[in-house]
Amino acid sequence: MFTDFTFTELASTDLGPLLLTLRLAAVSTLILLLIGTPVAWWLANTKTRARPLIEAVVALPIVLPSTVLGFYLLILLSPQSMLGGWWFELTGQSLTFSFSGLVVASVIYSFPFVVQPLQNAFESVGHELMETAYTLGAKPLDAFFSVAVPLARRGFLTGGVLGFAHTLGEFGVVLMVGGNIPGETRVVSIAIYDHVESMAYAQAHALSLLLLLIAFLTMLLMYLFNHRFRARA
Amino acid sequence: MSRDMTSEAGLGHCSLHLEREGFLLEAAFDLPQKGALGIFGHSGSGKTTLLRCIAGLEKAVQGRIEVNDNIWLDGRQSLPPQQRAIGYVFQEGRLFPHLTVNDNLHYGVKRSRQRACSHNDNKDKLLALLNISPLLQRYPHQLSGGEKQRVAIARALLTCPQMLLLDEPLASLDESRKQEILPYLERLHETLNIPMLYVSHSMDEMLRLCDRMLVMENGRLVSQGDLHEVLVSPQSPLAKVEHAVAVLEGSVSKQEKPFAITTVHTTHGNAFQVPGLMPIGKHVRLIVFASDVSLAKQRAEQSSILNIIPGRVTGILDKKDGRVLLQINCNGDILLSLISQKSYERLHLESGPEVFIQVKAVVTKKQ
Repeated sequence: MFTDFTFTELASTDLGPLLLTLRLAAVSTLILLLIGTPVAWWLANTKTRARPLIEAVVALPIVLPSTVLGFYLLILLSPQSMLGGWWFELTGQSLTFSFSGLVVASVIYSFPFVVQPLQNAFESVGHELMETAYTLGAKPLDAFFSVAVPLARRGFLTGGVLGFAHTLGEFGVVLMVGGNIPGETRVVSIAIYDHVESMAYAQAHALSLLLLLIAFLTMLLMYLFNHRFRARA
Repeated sequence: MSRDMTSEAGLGHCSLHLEREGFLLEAAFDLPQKGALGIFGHSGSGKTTLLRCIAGLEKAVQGRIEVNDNIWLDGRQSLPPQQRAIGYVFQEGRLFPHLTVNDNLHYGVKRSRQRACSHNDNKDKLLALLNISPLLQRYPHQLSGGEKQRVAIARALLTCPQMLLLDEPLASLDESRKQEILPYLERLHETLNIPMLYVSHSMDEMLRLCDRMLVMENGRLVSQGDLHEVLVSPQSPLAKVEHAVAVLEGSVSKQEKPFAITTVHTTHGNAFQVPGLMPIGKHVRLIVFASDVSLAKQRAEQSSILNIIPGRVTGILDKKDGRVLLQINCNGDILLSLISQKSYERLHLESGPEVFIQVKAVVTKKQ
């Protein structure tokens, strides 16, 4: 039962969840980098005393059971809430049990995995080289893109990959917020759970192994690139 | 040329006030139009902070900075650093590690195109002067400390600054590297027309590079003026037993090839014979340490000492551990002499201040 399977077991119905998962991870990672970068920069440079508080909030998803997070997100995103209601007015769609809702949930869920490597990277760039750029005529935004970003590239790589990989493996939050709607919210982890529930072990095996391979390759690529960056730095 | 720094039209004026936890910086001074202004003081005296204020890197500063009729600071209104026409050389060089030397140099050039200056038309000449043409394709981690500093200086100069700010550019280098960079700085000082502000705690660098000097202690200016005045004035914190020294400006009047001796006439007409051959007419700075100057009531005949010059003792500047620091006026040239208390009493100066100074060693610096 656990041994004899091939990837031909990968039913055509499983291709949907796989593509959906990759799409979710890609979109979430893009948004994570867009939002995470300014937040990480701010955290790396701020002198406010509220910094530990904000860092703790950002880090919460690391330790919180995903069902807890999912439960609160379900409430927050439902059309009855302020955020969910506003989204419903704007788009006519509910954030819960939809792809958009999953993206919002993933971004929150994976936020610390992107912000923390970026923040560390920005902190190690330090203020000195930014000052140097100013004295050479660079405006702050120019200095950020010409000095901080290239020097923090390892942080971007690590943050991006961790955000992507973490979104791939998300289960509890999806189940709470997204449910199990084929083509909309039925991601790989949910599909696997379904297969196991219905005793379709061979299909569960095929899908699990595929996800394992994708996850492993992602990590391998990250460490390979990281190593190369380190060698050049 | 003896640099005439007297209050001719200056580059500008600074008056700064900065308060930080347990530290107060207060300083007002003129920025010279040319030459090098040394900012001297011990670590923690506020000299680096002062330089950062001029560059616009200290947010909390108040006061006024005027440079070439541009106002950089007015009260709390501050022009951001990228809009001030400065070149800043940091202690550690601070080259961008992800860029080659060439790209580091280009970084500032690209962002200061609206400025123009003579040495920028001849970038190659500047690179040759600082000897960095062979380094252009290297990354900063492939450079020695001295090479990094030379690149940092070139990078700052290529932005066509109105002022070059140097913050202890030699402090992170070992002694032999320092001696390697100093000649480059001296050459820049001679060839470029850009005023420099040079922060250092090294008296040697001040003596070799600077024309005017600010002396800082605990965030305040305790002395300022032309280098030779600051060194020998009775109020100066530098005219102390420990490190007393005087400088004189002069030009070469005679060469004695067989002895490898050059005669230098100072601006006040005294002749000093110094070792080494230098071309006639060459302008020279003489550095005379007080410990190399002894005194005699009569001119010693047949002495091994070549430089014996009449003068008058004009004051006692310091006394410590059985030693006395005297100020001597030799027809307008002011020198310092450090002698023992016992020798001082045997001179019987109460019978008249006239003495002969015997200068054992003179260090020269070409200008």
